Amino acid sequence: MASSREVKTELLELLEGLCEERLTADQFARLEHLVVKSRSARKLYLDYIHLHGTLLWDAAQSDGVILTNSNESSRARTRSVDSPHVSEESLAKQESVVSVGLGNASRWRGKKRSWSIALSAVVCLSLLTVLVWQWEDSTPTDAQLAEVPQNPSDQDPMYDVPREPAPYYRPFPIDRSIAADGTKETPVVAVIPPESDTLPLDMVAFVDQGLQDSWTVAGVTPSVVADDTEWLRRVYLDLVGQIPSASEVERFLADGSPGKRKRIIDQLLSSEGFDRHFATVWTNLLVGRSNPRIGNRNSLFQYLRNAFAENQPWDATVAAFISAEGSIDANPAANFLVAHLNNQAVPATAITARVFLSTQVQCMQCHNHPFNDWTQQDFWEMNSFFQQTKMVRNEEGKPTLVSESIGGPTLFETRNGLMKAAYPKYLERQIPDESSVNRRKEFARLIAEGKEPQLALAFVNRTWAQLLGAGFTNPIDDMGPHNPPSHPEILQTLSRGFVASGYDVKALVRWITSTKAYQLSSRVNETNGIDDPATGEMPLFSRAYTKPMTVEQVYDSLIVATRSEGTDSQLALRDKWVSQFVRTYETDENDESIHFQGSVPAALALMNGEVVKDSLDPQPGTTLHQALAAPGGDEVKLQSLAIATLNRRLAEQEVAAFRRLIRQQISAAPAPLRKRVAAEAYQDAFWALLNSGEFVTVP
Amino acid sequence: MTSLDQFDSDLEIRSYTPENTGPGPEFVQEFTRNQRRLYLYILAQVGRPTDAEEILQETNLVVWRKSAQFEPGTSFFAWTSRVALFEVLKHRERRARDKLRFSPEFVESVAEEALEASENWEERRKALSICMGKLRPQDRELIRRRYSPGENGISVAEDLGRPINAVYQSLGRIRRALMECVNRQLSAMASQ
Repeated sequence: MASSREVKTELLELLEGLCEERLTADQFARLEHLVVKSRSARKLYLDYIHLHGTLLWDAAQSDGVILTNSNESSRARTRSVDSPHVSEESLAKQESVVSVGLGNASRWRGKKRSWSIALSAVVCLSLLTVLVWQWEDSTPTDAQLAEVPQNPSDQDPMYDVPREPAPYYRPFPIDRSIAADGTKETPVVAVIPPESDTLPLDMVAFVDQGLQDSWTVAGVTPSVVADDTEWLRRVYLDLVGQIPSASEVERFLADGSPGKRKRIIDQLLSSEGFDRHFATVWTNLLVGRSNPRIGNRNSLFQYLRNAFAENQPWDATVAAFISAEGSIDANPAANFLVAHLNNQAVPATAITARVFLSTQVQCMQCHNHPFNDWTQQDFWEMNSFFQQTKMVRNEEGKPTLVSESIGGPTLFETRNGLMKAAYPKYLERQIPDESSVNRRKEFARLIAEGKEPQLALAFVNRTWAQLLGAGFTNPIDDMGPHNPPSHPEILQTLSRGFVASGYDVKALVRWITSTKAYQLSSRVNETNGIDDPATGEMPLFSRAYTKPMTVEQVYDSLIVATRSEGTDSQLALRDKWVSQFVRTYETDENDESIHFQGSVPAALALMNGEVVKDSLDPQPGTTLHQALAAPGGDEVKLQSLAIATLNRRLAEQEVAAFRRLIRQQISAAPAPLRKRVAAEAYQDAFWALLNSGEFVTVP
Repeated sequence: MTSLDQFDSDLEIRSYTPENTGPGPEFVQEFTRNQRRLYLYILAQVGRPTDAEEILQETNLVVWRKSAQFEPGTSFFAWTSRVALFEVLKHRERRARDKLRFSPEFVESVAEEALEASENWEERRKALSICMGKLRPQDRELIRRRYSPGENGISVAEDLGRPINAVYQSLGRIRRALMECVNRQLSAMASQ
């Protein structure tokens, strides 16, 4: 599909050499060869030439100033897009030259032809002279140079020592023959990037250092470390999909020993809640919440739950889904493809690519990708891996996956009506298309090959985003050459480590949650306001990005918040509750939309009956009952409600505001009813806390 | 590849008549508007800016002389790019001794795609100007110096008193960053 990274690295080096006119004859020939051979190389070449040429042209046109969009530089000019590069005066100049020419020509009409030709040549030459004059009259003046600091190394560590380059960019070995003054320069040994086989001993420290470097380069300081309550709520929601209970919060706050965060991570990773939460997330990714074709969603969920509980290697899990055979009873993993085999396995192809490989291929069903060099052919080559698969009903009428022994190509039609053939091929590796070859098994094998396959990059990016609130690449399922990651070295190293660990999911999650970035608060400081992936900026991870809770997290958290004894929500009830918000769309991807934007009032309004009444009814066993029954004044009651819902203590002014309202209600009531009114007032306070935006946010 | 006979300059002079009073203002405007695009198109086929400038001037001469041939309403660039392609090949013959020039296969495979790609060059330039604004001031300054006419990596390194390798690395890093930024910017612009 995409050109291999080594070729791209080499090509980038050669293009750099071309721009600086440092290519040897061999390198030149190599560049030619690469560009002629491949369309993607040609595209890269043209983009580079455009960049280089535009910078040259602009500099020549405007006294050495490069066109920028900012108004910082006093020398920057604003220009309308369509205006010619030549300024208005010179255009007028040319026109006056032309009109002079016209005037002269009319005078000379009827004279010998050669006069007219000479005249037009003069006109042409003077026009050219004007253009050339524009070009040459732009050497930077001394005044301009003086504005520049003479020793940039004093200002910026970047210029001091050649930085350790990114793993996929190697600097040029120096070519002695091009020394400007004719002297031989001492050869500088090119800095070789770290061997791709060696992994850092301490993955977390590597990630921390990499992020810190990016903060330094960007000139931001990271936000403060999140305080205990902020952090605990986040890690609970991220790892087990529900808020901590009041007693869990109290226990954490009371723990003064070092390493308590690490202990919580370990505890949560080995809890059932982790399996449940990750199984929920991945069931939703694989089959959605409402797919009508799904056989048995619950058994798929249970399969995933077991897989996470046993820490089954991720590549084995993916292989199980992709190459599943048999009835959904015998093999719950078959539910995945059963849900998407409609429409010639087009959804299966698209979803497999998007969910497991984080690549968007669905539009390539009909045409080439608009922003990179993937083609329609690539889509159908991937689709042909699924062509042997059929869904049938077995004797009990249950959906069953069978692989038929068929071979040969998949036929598809291009936009101009041409029929083409696609053979099962993934990333230049074609498998034999005989009917005896089990294509899905081969596909599952191919996508997990290598030290750093896209399967690993995709899972790392997705999991990072799940925990940190943004991926290295965003959108997280749209990776590709058209969408480069924010921190390629970190993404790649984490992925290689993930592969080397045997696709160990819990190890990856442990690394990520142990990084410094995961400890930070979401509070912005003076320097990192720009770090805001929600606005489309590349994330720096210099602060936490808050996330809205998912529907399931809201439900589970409501249960935790309202019951004083820990009980896990009942999954059947949860699914029923969730289904109120979901609507299915019939698209090529079996899309669905969910109407829940993290708004509790909407949720509570739609929940009729049990959960609402139960949560507000101060029966024994509920949070409300416990708060009301315990000894202590207003503040004590309010704080216990807050800890149970927002997982933090209220600030002074918040307590004051609540108390004011409660007091008002009580004093307005006649004496015999005061106790009852007080209870209702606390109910209202509890309701307000549950309704707040803060409740449905992952901090 | 169009037949070279089409551009036989002898034929051209014979066809010139006194009624041709030189190009009108619309022509001049189209002409100047297309200069940058033409320059980039030529640069893509020869790789070296000095050659590209020379060939552009040659092309301009021809285009100006033949202004009467242009049919208003048709694509100006399509016409001038054909002239440019011819000049590229002529120029190549003149420089027969020069080893570092692209082969005809290269020119042919690039020319067609460059023509297609050139439709988006204006958008790319818009994206580039946004991306230039996003560079750090030091990086922008380095680019300004490097691209000042008459300068190159070596002269910049001398001016700044830095090792040449460091300057090459920085330039490479910045250019790569600009390219990635431009591609992202274009995606963002397209999805709006």
